[in-house]
Amino acid sequence: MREIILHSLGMRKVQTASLILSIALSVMTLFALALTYGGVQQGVAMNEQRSGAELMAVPRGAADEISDTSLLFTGTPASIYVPSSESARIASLPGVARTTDRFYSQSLGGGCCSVGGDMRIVGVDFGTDWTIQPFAHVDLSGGLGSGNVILGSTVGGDVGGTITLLGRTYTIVDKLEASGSDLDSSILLDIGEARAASEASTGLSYLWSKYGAASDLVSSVLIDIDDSLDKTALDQLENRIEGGGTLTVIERASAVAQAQSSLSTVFSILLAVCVIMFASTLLQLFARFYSCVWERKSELALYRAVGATGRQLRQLIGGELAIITGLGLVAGFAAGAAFYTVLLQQLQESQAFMFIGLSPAMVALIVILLAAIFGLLGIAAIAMPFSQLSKLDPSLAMQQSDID
Amino acid sequence: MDTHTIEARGLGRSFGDQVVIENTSFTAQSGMAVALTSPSGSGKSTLLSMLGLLLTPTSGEVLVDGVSTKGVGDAQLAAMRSRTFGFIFQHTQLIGSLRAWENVAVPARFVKHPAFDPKERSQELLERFGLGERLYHYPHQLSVGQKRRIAAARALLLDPPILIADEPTNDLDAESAGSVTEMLFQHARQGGILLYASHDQALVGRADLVLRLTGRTFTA
Repeated sequence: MREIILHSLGMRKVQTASLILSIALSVMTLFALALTYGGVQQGVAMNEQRSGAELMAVPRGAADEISDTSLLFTGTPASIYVPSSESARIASLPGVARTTDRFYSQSLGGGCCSVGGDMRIVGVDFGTDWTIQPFAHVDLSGGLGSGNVILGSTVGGDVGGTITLLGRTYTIVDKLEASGSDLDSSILLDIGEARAASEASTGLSYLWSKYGAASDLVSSVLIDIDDSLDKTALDQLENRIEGGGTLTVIERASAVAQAQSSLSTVFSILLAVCVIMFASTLLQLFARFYSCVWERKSELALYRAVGATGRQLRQLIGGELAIITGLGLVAGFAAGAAFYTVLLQQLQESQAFMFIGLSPAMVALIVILLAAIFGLLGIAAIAMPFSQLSKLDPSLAMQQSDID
Repeated sequence: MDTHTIEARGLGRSFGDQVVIENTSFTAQSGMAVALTSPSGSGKSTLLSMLGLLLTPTSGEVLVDGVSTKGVGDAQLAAMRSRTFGFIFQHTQLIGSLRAWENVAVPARFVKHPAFDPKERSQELLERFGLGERLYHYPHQLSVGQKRRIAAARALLLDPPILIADEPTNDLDAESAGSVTEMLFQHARQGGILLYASHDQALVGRADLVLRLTGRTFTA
């Protein structure tokens, strides 16, 4: 049986290869899309569950240079600062429930002094912060201490080890859970330590000559508002925060909505492409197996005449389908994994969003689901050819000529 | 070879309103050669199809070794065809994309555990038919006579007790026809049953039983 199946596939090499390719392309797109979409949804859910600040006040210059979503989700270290008195002013405004300050800086590469390397330093006021604790494994209410550091989930280094930043050595006391934001690639210090280390760095001294002493600067202020605030009161509060002209306010909800909306458009387009490819694959499979049974009537009748049961003929056609679908799935998943990497990279370059890669179990589930969907697709495609097979008259073998 | 019988009992077949064969009865036993003769298109292939369990009769029944095949299910019919019958079709029905030995081995592909190696058995049969040099040839590389011998080898692969041959010497030159005929009658001499349809009166004359068409009924 196996030889006949392989022989039949080999006889129709181009048709077989085209079908395998068609299935592989559909699987590739669906798989990559599912992984990316799942990761984004997981990122959004994680950030909603571990609710961050409702508002974020950043220096106006930073908002001009970097998108709201980048500032909010990725913590992009905009090297633009405002005096810390702005933070105190915001905290005193009616309608503000709580605030906490951030101070952004950078580690400087050993061989060069350029600002903006991969290693971003975030100075956090752990005494007032409520956004980091949900991702941490240690109690942060008492602060970190000047010799300690916390790493984002993707930063190299182990708890208990040391890391050198701006010429100072720190002990790693915790590694945060993945947040899906650029917090994952950040290094967290106590805000006082971050300011002191940055100020002492000659590589960053040009910043302090421009903005003043680092000990008196903040990069952003995270704000939670009173639950009772309505839309009008919120607008008024935002106006007051921005009143001094040095700050601009980013609303978390609207930034999330903006990011989700942009991504939804991309996903909708990709999904539409998937549906078209899926339908096309179904039609191709149907056409292949329908015409295959029709064209091979003589051959199949011969098999019946020499003792093949109807079930064996169905196994023959089903075997061909299984091999085509199986190869298409394997190729599709392999290509899908590669496409996912490219797609994610492209999306991240064009749009900042929260992303947490799916767990191996979820990926396995998606693989199983897609395999099941394409299995059902194949069964749907051969349902009619199967019914043709059951009506096949073995006495045709007495009438037909040679079989090509 | 064990003793076998095949019996047609009141066999008839219609296609729509058209009655092709009616009320045909005969019995053949091991060692017999039975010839069917009638003008072209008058029902020889239809009768052979019914006898070989390829076509369901509209009336009457076929008994193999005394057992009626009426109402038997698909799987059992397929098993009986595989176990009991070897077919040499009027058109050789070789698969163009398979080599000679692969064509011979086709019936073994549908047997769960063949008692022999299909390739070895195919080679042995082809060598017996003088085609030992043509094992790896495709049908389009062979003459009509060679193809007919390959078809005969395929019919004998599973060593069936009953051989059904439809116009086995059609289009063959004298030498090839002689070779194929010899193979068919050797099967009967060795205890098998040979059922064949032919226009060739010399070939018909060698049968132990000749069934001729009278009206729509084949009679001895």
